[in-house]
Amino acid sequence: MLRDLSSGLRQVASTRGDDDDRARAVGSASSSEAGAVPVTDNRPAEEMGLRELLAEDFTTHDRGLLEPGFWAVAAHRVGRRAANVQLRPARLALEAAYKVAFTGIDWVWGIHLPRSVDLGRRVRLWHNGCMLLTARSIGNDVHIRHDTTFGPARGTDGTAATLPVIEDRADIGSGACVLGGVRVGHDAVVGANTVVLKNVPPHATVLGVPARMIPT
Amino acid sequence: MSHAAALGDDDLGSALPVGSENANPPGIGLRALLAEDFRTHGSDPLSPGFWALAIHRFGNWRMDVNHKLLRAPLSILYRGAHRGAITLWGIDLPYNAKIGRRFRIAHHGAVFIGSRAIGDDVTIRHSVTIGLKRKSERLAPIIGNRIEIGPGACIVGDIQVGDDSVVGANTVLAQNVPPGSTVLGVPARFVAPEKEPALPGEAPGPQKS
Repeated sequence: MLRDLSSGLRQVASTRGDDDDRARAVGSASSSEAGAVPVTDNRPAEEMGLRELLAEDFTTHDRGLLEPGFWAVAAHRVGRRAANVQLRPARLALEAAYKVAFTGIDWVWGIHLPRSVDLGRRVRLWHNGCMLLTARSIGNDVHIRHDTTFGPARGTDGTAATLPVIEDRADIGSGACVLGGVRVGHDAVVGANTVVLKNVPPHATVLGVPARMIPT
Repeated sequence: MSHAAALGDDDLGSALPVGSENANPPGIGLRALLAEDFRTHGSDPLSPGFWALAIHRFGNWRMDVNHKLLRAPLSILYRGAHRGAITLWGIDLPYNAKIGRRFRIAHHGAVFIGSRAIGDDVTIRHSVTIGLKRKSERLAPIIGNRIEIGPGACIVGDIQVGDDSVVGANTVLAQNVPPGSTVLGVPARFVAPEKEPALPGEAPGPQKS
């Protein structure tokens, strides 16, 4: 039942994230319409316009201009596109801007989100940083809190096979570490300060060092 | 430093060495040491870990300047840089915590290193704390050579961590560790190296520890 409630809340949140006005319109309509959740737009980030994508990320981060998470995600989005710009001077300028932004965000807030990460849509980075997010991929609607680590289990330079995959709608608590080539299933919850070294099945909740499944 | 002089040479009574002398690794000059530290941090001039360590090395090197008046401007520079590293990157690396060669801070943020001594080839990550167990206790850990420390780990108290050990992420370690161990958990438990602990949901039977 809790699960239903939380997924319901998430759907409401994603509705709101899509379009404030539409959500309001749905809310004021009849109850049957309000119950019908609009189909979420899940086109890959690469297929969207940069402006559209950044607007969505801004909304996801509660439209806060001072949200470190928004700037980290924005730098990632720009960095992903910078390499594909055809016009050379524009590309070089964008690459330089990305490098400056990436380093500044890493220095000031400690958010390390390299553009090699395959980042989904509406990913929310909560609170004030200190995150090392070198995952292979991070899905749509993933929530990540401060002090989290995604990376290889040993050493510092991971290849794709030794980096974790975070699936859609996973909820990562503060201080959590997901290490090695593991998969955190969709809708899974990783508790605070948990160290995940094995796959987490979809919808599971894990907690502890090392992670243990806890009943929900 | 007058308080340092009052404590004398016997540093066993204090949490950290008093820092009255240059504790950089012996047998290597400052320039060569910094070049090595730079290479250790991936030759990246933007690596906060390198700069914090460079400030630490400089803080020790300045203790070789015996004349107090000559040392004063260096000390002011060191203190300012040390404070800057804490404010900007959250790396607190006091110069009197002895650190060996090729020390690497792989990612910065919320790092505090108050160890008595750290060996060579040690890697730490963000949110690592090395320090006292209680305010009333005075002895900090001694970390051996070739040790990997995961993010969020706390290593506290009068303990020794043996060579070639791995301290897992978010582990709270307050006991001696023999060489070649892997520890993980709160409080730390020994785990077989390279064998990752199973999730009890998938384990064949109940595990008693």
